[in-house]
Amino acid sequence: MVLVLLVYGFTTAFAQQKQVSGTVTDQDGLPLPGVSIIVVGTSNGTQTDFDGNYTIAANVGQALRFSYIGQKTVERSIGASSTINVSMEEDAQALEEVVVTALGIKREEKALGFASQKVAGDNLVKARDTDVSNALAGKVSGVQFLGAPSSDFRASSIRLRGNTNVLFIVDNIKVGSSTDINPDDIQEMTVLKGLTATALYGPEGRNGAIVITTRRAKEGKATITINQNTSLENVYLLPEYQNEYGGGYEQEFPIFNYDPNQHPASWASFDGQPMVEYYADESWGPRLDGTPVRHWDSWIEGDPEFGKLRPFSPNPNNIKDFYNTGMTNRTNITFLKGGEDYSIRTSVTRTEKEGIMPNTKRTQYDFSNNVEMNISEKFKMYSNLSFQTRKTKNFAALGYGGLGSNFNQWWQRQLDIDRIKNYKRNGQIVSWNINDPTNTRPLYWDSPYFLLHESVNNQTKNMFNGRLGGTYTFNEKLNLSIETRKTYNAFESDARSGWGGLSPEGYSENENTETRDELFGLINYHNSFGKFDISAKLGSEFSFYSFKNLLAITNGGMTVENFYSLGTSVDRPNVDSNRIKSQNRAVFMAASLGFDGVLYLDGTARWDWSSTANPNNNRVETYGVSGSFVFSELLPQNDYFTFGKLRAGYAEAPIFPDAHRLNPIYSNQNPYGSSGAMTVPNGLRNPELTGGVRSEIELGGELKFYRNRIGFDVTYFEKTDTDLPVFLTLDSSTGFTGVSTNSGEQFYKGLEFGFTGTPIKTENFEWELSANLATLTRWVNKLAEGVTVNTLDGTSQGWGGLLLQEREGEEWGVLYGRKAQRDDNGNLKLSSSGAIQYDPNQFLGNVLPDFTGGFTSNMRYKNFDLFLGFDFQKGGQYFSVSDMFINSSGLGIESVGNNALGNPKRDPLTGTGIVGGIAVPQATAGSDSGGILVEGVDATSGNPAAYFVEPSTYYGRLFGLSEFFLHDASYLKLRTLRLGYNLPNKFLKQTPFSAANIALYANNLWLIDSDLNFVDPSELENIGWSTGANNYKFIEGGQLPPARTLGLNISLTF
Amino acid sequence: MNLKYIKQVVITLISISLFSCDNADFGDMNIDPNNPSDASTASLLTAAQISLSGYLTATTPNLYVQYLSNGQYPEESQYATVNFNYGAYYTNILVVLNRIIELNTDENSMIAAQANGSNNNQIAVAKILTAYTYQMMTDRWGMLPYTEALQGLDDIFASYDTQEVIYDGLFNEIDEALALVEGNQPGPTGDVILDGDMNRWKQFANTLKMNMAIRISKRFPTSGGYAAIKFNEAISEVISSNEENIYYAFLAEENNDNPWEDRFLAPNYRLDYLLSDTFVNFLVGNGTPSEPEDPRLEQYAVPAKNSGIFVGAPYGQENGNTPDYSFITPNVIYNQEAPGYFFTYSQIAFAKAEAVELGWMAGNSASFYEEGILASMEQWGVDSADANAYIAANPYTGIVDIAYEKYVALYLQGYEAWAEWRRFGANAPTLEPPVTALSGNGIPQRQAYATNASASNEENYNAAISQQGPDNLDTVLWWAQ
Repeated sequence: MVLVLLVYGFTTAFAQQKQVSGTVTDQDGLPLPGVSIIVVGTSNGTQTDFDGNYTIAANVGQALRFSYIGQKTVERSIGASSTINVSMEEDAQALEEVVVTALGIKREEKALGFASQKVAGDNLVKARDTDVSNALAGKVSGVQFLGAPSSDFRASSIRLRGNTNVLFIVDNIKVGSSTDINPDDIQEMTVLKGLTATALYGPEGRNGAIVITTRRAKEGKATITINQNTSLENVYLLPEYQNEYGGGYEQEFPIFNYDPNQHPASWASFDGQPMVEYYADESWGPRLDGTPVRHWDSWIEGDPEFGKLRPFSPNPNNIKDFYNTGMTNRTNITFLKGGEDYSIRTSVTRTEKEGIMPNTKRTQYDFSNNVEMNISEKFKMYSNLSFQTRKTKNFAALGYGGLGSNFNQWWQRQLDIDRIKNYKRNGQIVSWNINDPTNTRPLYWDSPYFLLHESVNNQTKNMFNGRLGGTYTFNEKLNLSIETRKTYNAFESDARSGWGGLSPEGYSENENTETRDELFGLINYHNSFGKFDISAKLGSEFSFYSFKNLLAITNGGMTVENFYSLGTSVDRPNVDSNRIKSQNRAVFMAASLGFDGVLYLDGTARWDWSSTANPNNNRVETYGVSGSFVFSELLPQNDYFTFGKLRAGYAEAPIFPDAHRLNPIYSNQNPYGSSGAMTVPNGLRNPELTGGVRSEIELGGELKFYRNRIGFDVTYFEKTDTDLPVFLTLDSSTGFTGVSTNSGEQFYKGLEFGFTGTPIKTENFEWELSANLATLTRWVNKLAEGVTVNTLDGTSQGWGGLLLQEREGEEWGVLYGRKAQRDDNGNLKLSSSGAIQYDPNQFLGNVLPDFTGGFTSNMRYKNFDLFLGFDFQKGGQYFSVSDMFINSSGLGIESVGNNALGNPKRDPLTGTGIVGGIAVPQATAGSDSGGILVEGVDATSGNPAAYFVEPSTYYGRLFGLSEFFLHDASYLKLRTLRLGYNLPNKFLKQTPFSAANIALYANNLWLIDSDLNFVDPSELENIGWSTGANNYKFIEGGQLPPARTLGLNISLTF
Repeated sequence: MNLKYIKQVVITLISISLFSCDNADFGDMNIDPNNPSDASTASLLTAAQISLSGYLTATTPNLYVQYLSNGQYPEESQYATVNFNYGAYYTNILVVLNRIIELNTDENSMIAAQANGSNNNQIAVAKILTAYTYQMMTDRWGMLPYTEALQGLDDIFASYDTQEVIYDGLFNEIDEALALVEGNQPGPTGDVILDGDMNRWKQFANTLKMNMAIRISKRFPTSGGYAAIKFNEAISEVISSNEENIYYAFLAEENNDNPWEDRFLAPNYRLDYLLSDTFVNFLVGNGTPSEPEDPRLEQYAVPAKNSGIFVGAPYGQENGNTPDYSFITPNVIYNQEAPGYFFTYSQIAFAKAEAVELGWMAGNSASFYEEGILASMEQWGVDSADANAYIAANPYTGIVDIAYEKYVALYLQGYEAWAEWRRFGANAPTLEPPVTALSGNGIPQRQAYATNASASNEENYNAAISQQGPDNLDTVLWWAQ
């Protein structure tokens, strides 16, 4: 019967048929592959190819039915024209069901055998973040956000399934960093989490990929969108400071003694005046009781304050007042225009940000342009260009010695910040920390205003990326695309060390250029045989990478005052240059088999050759295989259980070593006079080094209920890295600090949950919820033969020697350091003067969180919508340098207040048996004794012991006792809030606008829960401790305070 | 285009990728253009010497022996740091010296290496510096990887040798070096210490050997014994005057200047080190703070700004108001070119005085003692009348005087001074640890291994600890017992 029909159909078609062809696109003008097209009333059908093209034989008067999952079915009758282009529209019910996968391939989500998560562009710009990484925080399961300090300009990063170095891909272009992407251009983003999903990218994709598609014009309509955004930023989390005692080490004011041999005669009248211990950069000084004293500026000769006494009084907001209100202005204009054979998008963005620190500013221009045109029916060309110019004035110094750390570590509480602003007086650079009355040069650190105005740094970034390509469609089954791509990133920086400051004046220039050129070709074949659907791809990619760095810095000062140049260096300037070139070649193929919309099987394979590998062994193979079983297709259709799918995947990817890692070298160092100096590098080279192999298995399922209003997604994965190149720390007695070996084995596993729900959906009120959660454990199975411990990072010995380590057979990321000694009952062991005894090198915790996640709520009532975005993390630990310093330097609130006897802690110790002036046993302490109570047992006898210990001694002894400054990295945060209003149509009709939206938003709104209330664990800076390119983010290094953003956003569409 | 053709293309591409192209040729692309693949032995020697110079001006041992006190930040003087990393000695000095020896020994490279001096002379200098470095190291930590060290991946867990084994090995290396010296052949280029002068290197080697022999004299005190033999083998060729002092010349440029200057002037501009009250009190002696008995104090230090007299800062205390105290002489702390001494003649003279006391050599210990004081005074620019007056007032009475005068003479030669103070033991001038000490039980007797030493070489580390004693500051080293 079928045969008869077919024969009949064939013959009739043969008599009157004509060839109808065209392109099927989605609502954004993107070609839709795999759309099924049937001549209504017949079994004659075909599918669109990779570029949405089709050709089918049919008769005039017949109708074609276009259907595709996620899109509304379209029917068109055949008239005189033999071209029928169709723009399909999203079916709101199934909006989420098409995703962009590796190499930009659009796939039905149900066909995917691996985890991916789609984030729509408008969800990313809720808080108008300029860094895509920030916008991802809390939105995708398995993504851990690693923020940069929000009060500075630096870029954030993300950790995906436990790994950093995630690939960012925009329109098939591998961009250098997440900051190269303009969020306003994003149509949608897919997070490809596992190796199965990214296998087509080869070794580079092993840590996951963020695949971004930019917006495209719809056919036949010109649109202009203006988006104006203004926001204010303020420091919102600061430690709580004490305001009872001022700077100094002693509670008595030092007295000025006039000495005619040393002081001018005019100073005789100063004799006997109370002073401050100016050189003290801690606040253990006298009570802030208003006593008139000689403040630091009263010793600056010629200054109006010279010789004057002012009260010694609190200035509770001195640090808060240092920070300005920052302001960001961002304007984006997007032009979209699409016609029958073309579509164009142009977008221009200007961003200007005045930082919260004085004299900090960033100006950025982003430009991008997408063009697509059909040169002929069979040949289409496309190009994408984007350009960014960004100038930044003053990246703040981070870490120890940076501003954030100085205020919390080395400060006097009574200081009036306004009086420090004027840092140049009487021809001299001044600050609060003068040596003494006769030497008013500052000690230890310069005025923060001096640093920001004189020791300025500037950076200019020029970024370009783009591609140019074409697709030739041979027939409905076969097409070929070829494209060439380029990314270019150039940084030019200069930095000054200001004339007259504490550091010798100096100047440096640094230039970095990174380019990557790629040539890419892909042959795409697609066909259907009855219920089977087959597609196959074969492609090749050539990649050329180059990096150049040139750094020059003056040495020993400069010769021309107040002039900054390399040419005026006193000694020979130090110069360093670094060049890297590498090449990669790849061939890859992929095949997909679908059966009746129920079963899907995918396989990918890729071969890569890299110049960075051993020339005798420079080819690696990447494989992936995955399957999807849509079991709900087999169930009767119903409204309760609407979708169910199981998926499984496995992939294996090798990794290449970095460039220049194989051949032994010597390293140049600064010469001695004209004698050159070179040394044997500390790291031992291994010519046999490879990159190791990662394999990953992934299982998952999706369930949707109640007409898809509730959805669940669960993924379990396990990945194993074998032959991992580990930089193994060697005992330095080998002559080397370490060697890279292919001996490591690490194992990861995790569960990822996603939930979406629409609890309320009426015409006027809609409420959407989403939540995600991911667990991750990472185990160290093996390091190297006979090696069980590898140290990754650590603090100096003086700061307690906290070490971040990998230990064989243990979870990755253990922390070892000083831990207090305790008896069997957990009592602290104390010395005979009340010092807590400790052991070095003890297990203290682990840096990795137990789980991370987020949830969002989006409510719409008529024209109002309210979005809330939360994110959280549970577990993991970090070390807080600020916490260690703030009380040991007498600045923190805990260093004041009353002790167990009800007396001020800082009052003198009284009673009998005072040990060395620093501790008194509790039993014999006077009722009016000061000091902080320390309870425990005597380390020698084991008998209960308790002492009141003088506070600066108490905190000084805790310094470096790492255990006490490790904090739980758990947090819960309301990161984003946005309240928007869409102008109703009846108003819009009287305007030139087709849409208008006004919104108030806030970013970093509320840190609801955190172990240390002034530290946001999602933005640990960890500068200064990380070894190499790794940034383990386990230290709060005395960082800048977090900033909160409040903004107003207006979006108009013409 | 038909399917057949496509199939052919696919099959061709697959076969290319699978079979005919196991490896791609990228030429020299992966050769690092930023760093040389081949070494210059001259540049290696310079680098090793630069690295070594840092230890000649170290601060910590000068605090241990209380020449100095800390200023505002007293932690270093309170023994806050217990664990010290020996890594840089191995990775920045010893492995580099070892490489010089290899390049001058290996058939493939020795000819090229001759451009920088004769192979034997280069090897000799590398060995002498190796011996000097190891001695300084073992005097800090005690047992150390030595015979199994520097083997790279061939032995990643080197066992620790006893000090006795290390000293014996070093004597042998010095003897080997001396045997290699070719006076008629060019010395090494890149030698910024002695400019390739092999006669001077012979002096260096013999002075080192003699000094090492004295260091182990407690273990081998007998005349004609192990140490005495080494001493006498060396004594005739040691340095014989201040003109022959061996020092590292720092340059008047930021990359190569004296680290003391870096601390007090550019780039650090800090005031972290003051003369200690202990040392000032010793040198004031029977004089007054304005006119100290020991004329060297006026050369070693300057009077306090606030009082105009010599005031030492209380040892182990926080001495924030620095104008109250005496600073190190500006000739050192404000002088980029102040030298860092390996050996001074006064050291040798005191060693001879001691050797006479031990019966190792003939002579008059009192006159060697006086020669030592005179040499020290001369080195620091004290005029001879003052020097002689001091000697007259402080005649030689015995070993305690040698210990005291050597202690005074070794001012700012931190590691040597600390080692000698420990070796002299009860005969050395009395120093008290501060009540504020954060660790240790007395003046440090050694330094503990780096905190990661137990992780990176666990078994051998544990074996060393069980043999030598607890890994802290208090365990007394072999030659001090």
